[in-house]
Amino acid sequence: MTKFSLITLFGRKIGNKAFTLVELLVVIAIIGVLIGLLLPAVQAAKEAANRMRCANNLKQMGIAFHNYHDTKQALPAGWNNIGFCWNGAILPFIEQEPLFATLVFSENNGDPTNNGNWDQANSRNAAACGTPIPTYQCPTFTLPYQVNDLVPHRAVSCYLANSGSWSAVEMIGSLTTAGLTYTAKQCIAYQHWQQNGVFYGCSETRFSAITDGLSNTFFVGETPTDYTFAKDGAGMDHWHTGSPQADPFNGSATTNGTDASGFCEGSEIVGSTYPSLNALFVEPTLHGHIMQLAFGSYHPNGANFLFGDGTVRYFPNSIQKDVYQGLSSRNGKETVGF
Amino acid sequence: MLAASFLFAVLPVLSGCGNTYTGRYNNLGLVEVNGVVTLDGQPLPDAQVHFEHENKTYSYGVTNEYGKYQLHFNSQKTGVLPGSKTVRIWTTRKGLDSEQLTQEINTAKEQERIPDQYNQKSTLTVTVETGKSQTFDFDLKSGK
Repeated sequence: MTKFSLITLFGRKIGNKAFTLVELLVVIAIIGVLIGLLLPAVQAAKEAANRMRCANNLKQMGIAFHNYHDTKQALPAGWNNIGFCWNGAILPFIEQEPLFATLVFSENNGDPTNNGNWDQANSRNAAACGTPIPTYQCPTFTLPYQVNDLVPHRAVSCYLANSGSWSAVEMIGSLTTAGLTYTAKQCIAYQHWQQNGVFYGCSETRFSAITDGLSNTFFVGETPTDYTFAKDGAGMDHWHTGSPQADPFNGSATTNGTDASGFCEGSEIVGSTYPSLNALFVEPTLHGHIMQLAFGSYHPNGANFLFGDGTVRYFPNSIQKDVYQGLSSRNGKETVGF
Repeated sequence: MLAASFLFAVLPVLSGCGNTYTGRYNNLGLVEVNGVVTLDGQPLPDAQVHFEHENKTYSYGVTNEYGKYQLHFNSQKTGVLPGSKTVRIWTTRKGLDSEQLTQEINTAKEQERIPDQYNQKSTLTVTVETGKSQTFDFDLKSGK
C-alpha cells in the first residue's frame, strides 16, 4: 500500500498473505510483557487499598475508645469477670447500638434461654458473637469470617487489644507447658491481674494511667487470625464481643485473690508484645502457646497499629524489640520514638 | 520464542501474587517422619505420638487403624525439627494439652492404655537425623 507500512518492513506486500509465525510470536511476546507488567501492579494496588481499609477500621475503634472514655471516664476492660470483651463494650460507639442492646450481662441468671453465657445454644449472646462486624474484619483476611467454634457461626476478629509486653502465655499452668519460668515482670500469664499494657482482665484503664502518653502507647494491633492453624495445642483463633473461654468463672468458681482460676483465654481478644511481631511467620518454631499472643497481619511485612491518640501506624517486621515493647507499655518510661 | 513469551507472561504473575511468607519453613530443615506403633505386638489405632523438642514444642501424629502415624510440625505442615526428641505416646486425649479440649479432658473417663514410662514420665528418646525422611517404629509393652 504505502512504503511506510509496517508490513513492508517485514519485506512483504500487504493483502497477499496472512501473518507469518514470527509476527504472531512477536505480538504474543509483547502482550505477555504488558500483562506481566500490569498484573502485579494491580495486585499491589488491591493490597494497598485493603491496607487502607484496615487502617480505617482501626481509626474507627480509636474514635470509639475516646467516646467511650468520655462517657465512662475509663477504657473498657480487655475482658471482665463474665467474659465480656473490649470489642463488645465499644459496640455502641461504632454504630452497633442495636446489637449491643440485645446483650445479656449475667454469669448465670437462671433464664433457661438467655442465661448470659456466651456459648448457650440459641441465646441472644451467642447470636451476638455470631454476628460479623465489618469494623473487626481486615479485608486481607482470606478465610470465611464465620465458623462454628463453641458458638454457631462465630465471627472472627482480626484485631487484638494491647495487654503489654509481660505476658507470654494465657494460663499460669501454660508457662511450664511452653518451657518458660515465671518472672515477676517479664514472663507472666494473662491469668495474672497486673499487666503493663492497656487492656487485660478487668483492666478499665484510665487515660491518666497511661503515663507514657497516648501517642507513645498503642491500643489495638492487627493479628493474623487463622482458626485452622494449631501448634503445640494452641490455635490462632480470635473473636469479638464475648468469650466463654476468657470467662474466668466459666470453668471453676473459685478465685484466690490475686489470680483468676478457670479459663482465661485472653488471647481471644488481647495480644502481647512478648513474642515478636508476626511471630506466626517470622518465628515458625516458637511454641504455639506463645505464638498465639502475637500481633501481626497478612499485609506484606508488617501490621497496622492504632495508638491512643487515634493515629494508625504501620510497624514493619524489622521493628526493634525494645521499641516494639516500649510502645506497648503504658507506664514504662521508655524513651522510644516511632 | 513461544516459550519466551510464555515465560514473560507467567513469571511476573507467579511472583506478584504470592504470599510474602510462603518460604517460611524452607530454612528449618524439617524432616518427614513416620512409623508404626504396636502395643504388645498388636497395631495401636488412635494413639497420639509426640516428638518433643528440648524447648517443649512438639511435632505430633495420630495412628491410623494399622498403627501408622505421620508427624506434623503444625496443623498446616508435616515434618519434625532434627535433633534429640523425647517420645510420648497416649491413647487418651490427655496428651493434646489443648485449651479447647481442657473441659473434655477433665471429664474424660477413658482409661489410659499405655504405661507412664511412654508418656508423662517418658524415657523414650530418639534422634532425628537431618536430611532424608525417617521411620521410627515403637513396640510398647503394656506391662506388669
